[in-house]
Amino acid sequence: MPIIAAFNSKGGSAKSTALIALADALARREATVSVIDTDPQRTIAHWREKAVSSPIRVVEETNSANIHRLIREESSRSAWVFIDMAGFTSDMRTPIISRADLVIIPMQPSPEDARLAAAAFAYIATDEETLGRPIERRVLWARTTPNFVTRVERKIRDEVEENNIPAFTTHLHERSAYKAMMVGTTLAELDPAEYNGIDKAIINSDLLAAELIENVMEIQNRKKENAA
Amino acid sequence: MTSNTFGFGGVKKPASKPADMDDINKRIEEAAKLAPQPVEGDPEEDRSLRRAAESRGDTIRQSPLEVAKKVQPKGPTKQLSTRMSIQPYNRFVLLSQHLRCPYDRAIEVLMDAAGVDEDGIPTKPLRVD
Ligand SMILES: Nc1ncnc2c1ncn2[C@@H]1O[C@H](COP(=O)(O)OP(=O)(O)OP(=O)(O)O)[C@@H](O)[C@H]1O
Ligand SMILES: [Mg+2]
Repeated sequence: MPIIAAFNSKGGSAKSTALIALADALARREATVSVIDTDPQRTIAHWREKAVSSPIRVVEETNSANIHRLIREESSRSAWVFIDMAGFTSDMRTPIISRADLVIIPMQPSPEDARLAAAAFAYIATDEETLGRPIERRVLWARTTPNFVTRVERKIRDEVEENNIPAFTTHLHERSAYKAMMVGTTLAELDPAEYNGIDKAIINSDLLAAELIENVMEIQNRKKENAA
Repeated sequence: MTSNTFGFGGVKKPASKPADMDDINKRIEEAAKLAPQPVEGDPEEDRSLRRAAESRGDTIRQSPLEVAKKVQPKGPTKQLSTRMSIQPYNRFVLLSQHLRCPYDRAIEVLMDAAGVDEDGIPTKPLRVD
């Protein structure tokens, strides 16, 4: 049942890329995976039209009145359901967040991204009030360079850590293979003669997927214990 | 003291990171074996949740998709460019405006109308003078 949503009203914060990387890592092991694309830009729907060999099921829904029904349907088809949200906040947010086991907030280490990621946390806090329960959420550092931290990046990371903001330890690193994947292929299909670092991008998404799985399982166990 | 330049306020600690790739692989493979577990949900509750979110008014209503144009994935493409006399140029450009379609589509429409098959062979008599 894991339902995982990507939310950050900062456009271009790597929501769609992160979800495809994660969905692809699971799909490569023959998991049943659905991605619900709720962004009118249709980033993941476009990706799917080109990535014809991927077993990931992609469905589109931009109307908030239909989203709960669609989540029910997809959760009965696929073990893993990912929901991509638009780069603005809309009436889709609360309904989606209310069903998500985990909300991923991808964030690039720039001041603007940091502010908007903080705003995303504030929106989620409003949703927690509406729902009357906590919502699991986690920052995902995106487009960082391995072994290199700028001063401003250090500052943002420090603030996130000091405030105990939950964050994935694994980053989604900046890699040309991710950019190439977004044009419409799976990582494994990319031609190593044409793109550098495909194997590293695959390992990166595997590490991230493993951390996500561990996280989501923990969350689900906690929910079960609370229910019992 | 915690800094707050960017607007973050507290929650809890990140998880520790595993390193062994075999272990990682195993973990994802296990997760891949999960069966779908349909979520339940009460449609009335869902509706009231949407109403609550709406009344808060901190979000904009997302406009429904324009009917998605069912454009087939096009596959590889090639550039076609040509230099033409003004007269046939205008004739062709105006035709594509009338048909409200891009040039590449207009060429296809013309070829179809002329009965040209996929090997470029006319299936009915054509005259080139
Ligand atoms: N890890 C990465 N490495 C390289 N390029 C990346 C990476 N992540 C994202 N990008 C690039 O950054 C751009 C924005 O990414 P993406 O579309 O995933 O963001 P988004 O948050 O979904 O945007 P939107 O808000 O518009 O939906 C894309 O061009 C994508 O290819
Ligand atoms: Mg996107």
